[in-house]
Amino acid sequence: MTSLQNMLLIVVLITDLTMAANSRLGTCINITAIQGFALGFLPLAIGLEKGMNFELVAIAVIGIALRGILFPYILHRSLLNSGTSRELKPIVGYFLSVAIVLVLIFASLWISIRIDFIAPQLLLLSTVALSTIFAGTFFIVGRRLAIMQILGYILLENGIYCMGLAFVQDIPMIVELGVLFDAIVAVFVMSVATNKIHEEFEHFDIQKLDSLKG
Amino acid sequence: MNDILAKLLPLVVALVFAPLAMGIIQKVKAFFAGRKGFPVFQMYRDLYKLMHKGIVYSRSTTWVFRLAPLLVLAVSLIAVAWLPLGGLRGLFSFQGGFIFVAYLFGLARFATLLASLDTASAFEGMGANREALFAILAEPATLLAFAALILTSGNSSLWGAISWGQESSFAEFGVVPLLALVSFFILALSENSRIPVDDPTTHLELTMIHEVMILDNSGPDLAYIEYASALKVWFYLVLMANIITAIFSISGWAQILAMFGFAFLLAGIIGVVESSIARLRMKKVPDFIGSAVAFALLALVLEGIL
Repeated sequence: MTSLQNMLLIVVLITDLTMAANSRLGTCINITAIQGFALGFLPLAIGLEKGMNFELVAIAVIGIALRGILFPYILHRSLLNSGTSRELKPIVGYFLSVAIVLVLIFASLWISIRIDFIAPQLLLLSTVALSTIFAGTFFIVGRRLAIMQILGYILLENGIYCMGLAFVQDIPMIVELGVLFDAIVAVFVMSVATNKIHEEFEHFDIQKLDSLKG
Repeated sequence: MNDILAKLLPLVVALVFAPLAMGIIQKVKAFFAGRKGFPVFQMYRDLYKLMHKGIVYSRSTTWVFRLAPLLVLAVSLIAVAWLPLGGLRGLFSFQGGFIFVAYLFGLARFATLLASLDTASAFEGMGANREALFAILAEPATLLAFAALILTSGNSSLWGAISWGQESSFAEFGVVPLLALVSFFILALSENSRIPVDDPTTHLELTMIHEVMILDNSGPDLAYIEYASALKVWFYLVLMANIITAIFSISGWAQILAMFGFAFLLAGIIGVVESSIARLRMKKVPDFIGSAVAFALLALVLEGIL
């Protein structure tokens, strides 16, 4: 791992933490966009170290286009329709969220050390991967608004992508594309679903789904 | 002779340029507000003007109030004497120096708190209360961030903690300094009463923190306090600039020049931050300072593992 890769990975960790602290939905979407860019550039950083090839460039370009541009664009669109700009009263408060994400990062560090087939130089990568997966899962359960849950899903997907890089150094491009297209379809379907929820209940708050609608 | 000059240079630079950094922050804020703003050298003139004014003491104050500004200035001057500039060590330097410097600033704050309580004004008491609370929250972040840097460099003087770049490159130390830098930036905003925590230009007693505590100070006393707070801002700017130059492994005279560049750039960034985000509600401030603790803790743990 060179310093450039480490720097990108730290950006990912910082975005995980700042997302836990942030209440504005728009800012949270932008934070995932930054994370998407950092992860998108990761294959290029690996390419600089090991020799660039077509697959790495293609994965980087597609990754940046989807994670950094398309997903945030779709989410900003559905946010515009809603008129809500921030999340009030999340299930877990913001300060506690930061503490929990921090604990999750330490836990994933501990797990990565225990997994013995991870090379020491990939420790940071697998820590980032696991903690992003955990943080994504945490945002899915710990936030009320549907958009935050989609963001949690995107984080989860980003973590899985990192995990792939950590365990298998060269992912076949077809597998990578498969994962990405899975994510596109999921994000599309979920943003359509949130728009539908918004039409029915006039809010993104998933707690309102408990009440019956005729 | 040359040796003494090299030791004195960081101190002299701090004494001369600290008000200029404040001027730059002010200018950037004025630019974003669409105003022309006062000149960047305004603070020198203000200090000069204040030094020639008389002092008014309230009848309810005691010697504590008279002593505090002098103590604040003296302590800040001593703290700045520890500040390295690029490859140049500060005037003083010993192992564990960072703790000494951190608590020198603590002593300065304690003096300000006592003086503000001494005026027996309810508003100043409230300001003192908040200042004490936020200082307590910022303290673990400062020490943890320093601890992470010291584990990286293996040298526990203030100079050693932020100057590991001369011997080795960033690639070797990786990401710890970067996280410590983020932590220090948040601390620079909260410790110097900048915007997300406290608004240095506000004049509403209910929401002021630092400014309300010095409401009763006038003339040279006010000048001492203003100058001391400029020195503290400069301290944090140079600290961060040191870390940045070490990350890019710049050394020699280029490092000293780069330090100036980065220090003023960081002053500009503080100005941009102040103009672009709103001040946090009082009860949100602990979350903001808490994130500095989070970054510092992360840096420390990653340093221990990687």
